[in-house]
Amino acid sequence: MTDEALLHQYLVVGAMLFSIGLIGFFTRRNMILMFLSTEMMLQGVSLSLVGWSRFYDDFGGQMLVIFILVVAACEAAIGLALIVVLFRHTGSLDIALLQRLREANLPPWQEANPLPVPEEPSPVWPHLAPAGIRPPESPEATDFRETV
Amino acid sequence: MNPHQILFLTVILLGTAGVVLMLRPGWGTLRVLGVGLSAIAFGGVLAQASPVQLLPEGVVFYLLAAATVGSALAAVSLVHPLYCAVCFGLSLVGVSALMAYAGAQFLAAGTLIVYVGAILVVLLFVLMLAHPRGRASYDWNRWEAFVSAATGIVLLSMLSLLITRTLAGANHLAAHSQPAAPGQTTLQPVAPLAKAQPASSPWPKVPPPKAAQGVMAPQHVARIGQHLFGSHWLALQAAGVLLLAALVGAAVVLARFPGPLLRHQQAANLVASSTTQTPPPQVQHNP
Repeated sequence: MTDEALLHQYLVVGAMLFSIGLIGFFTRRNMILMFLSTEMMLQGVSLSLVGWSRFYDDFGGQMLVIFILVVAACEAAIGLALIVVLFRHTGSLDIALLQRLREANLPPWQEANPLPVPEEPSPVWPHLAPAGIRPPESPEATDFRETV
Repeated sequence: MNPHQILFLTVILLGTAGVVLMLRPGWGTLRVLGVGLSAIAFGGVLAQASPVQLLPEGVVFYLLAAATVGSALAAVSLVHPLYCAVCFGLSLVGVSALMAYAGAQFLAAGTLIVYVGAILVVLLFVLMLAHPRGRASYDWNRWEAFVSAATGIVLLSMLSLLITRTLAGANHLAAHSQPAAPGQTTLQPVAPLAKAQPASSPWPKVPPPKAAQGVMAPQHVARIGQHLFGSHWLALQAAGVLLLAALVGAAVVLARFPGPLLRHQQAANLVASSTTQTPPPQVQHNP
């Protein structure tokens, strides 16, 4: 595999990861999964930088990826702290509950036709099989019972 | 229309339809069809960028890329958030393997340690802490699926088209582009890439070691520490300060905004501790 073909492949795979992360960020309503999608976009950029670094035989791209890692770690710490605070406020991870952040002249967002959420099936508990040996009843117990 | 435009139009149509169908919850026939269409579209984008021989090492690259992109799509489109996080972890492992394939072993290890070891575990922890039991309606009902999918796929097509044009240089464009009509502007062909010298740095440059064998080779991964602590030492210090600030900031954010739910709970605890406890009911013994 020549160097330029490898660079081309890495750039395309990085662009794919970036686009998939963008789709996830736009379409997801769970705050944690939106956060996860941004991390996926960062991964795509990192992959492109590694490809360029390989192509130029230079460590500059890898240096940038190291600092991307650092920023991603900081972002994870603060972002998850903010998500926990928002969860304490609304009791849910739904981003659509934060409607007060919209523009002042926009109507509140309402779900057009929500899909029906299927019920979780009730768990099937195991039946306890009878185990052990029933002791033989003594003739006294059969003759003189306390209760009938 | 030249073959490139036809290919990218097909990719846009198939990919948008496939991703929209994939974003539907449940495992119906339509969703399986969506997986197939997305596989065709993403495979087409990957295949148009590969004038390389497949054997022997190309197979490894394609397997890794397919695993990475496929698990990334699964992470975006699955319903249950825990499955999404696990698929994201799989995609991270694929990215790490791709980095190792490109000769960035240190970054591969760093990605595994930082992302899979720390960030993903914290994500799963918060997810399990905050997620309600069973299925949530906000995981089941997505935002605008069609607009999101179309945006992402069009972005992907434009990016890959741009990458192809940039890398192919002037010769490829001259062969494939059509003559422009008068009054119509076209994109100018981009100059082919050249191996450039790295930009000069104001910091004192460390001379390369004499022996260029093994660990002492100028492109060995061990040189990464030399670069990190040589010409990038100021950025490294800034990164350390940033990490410390993020640590303190996360603690401050969590400590200063307890939220109404927690405040209600604290008030309830206060009330419960202030009221006198009723004596336990007496147990009646049967004679």
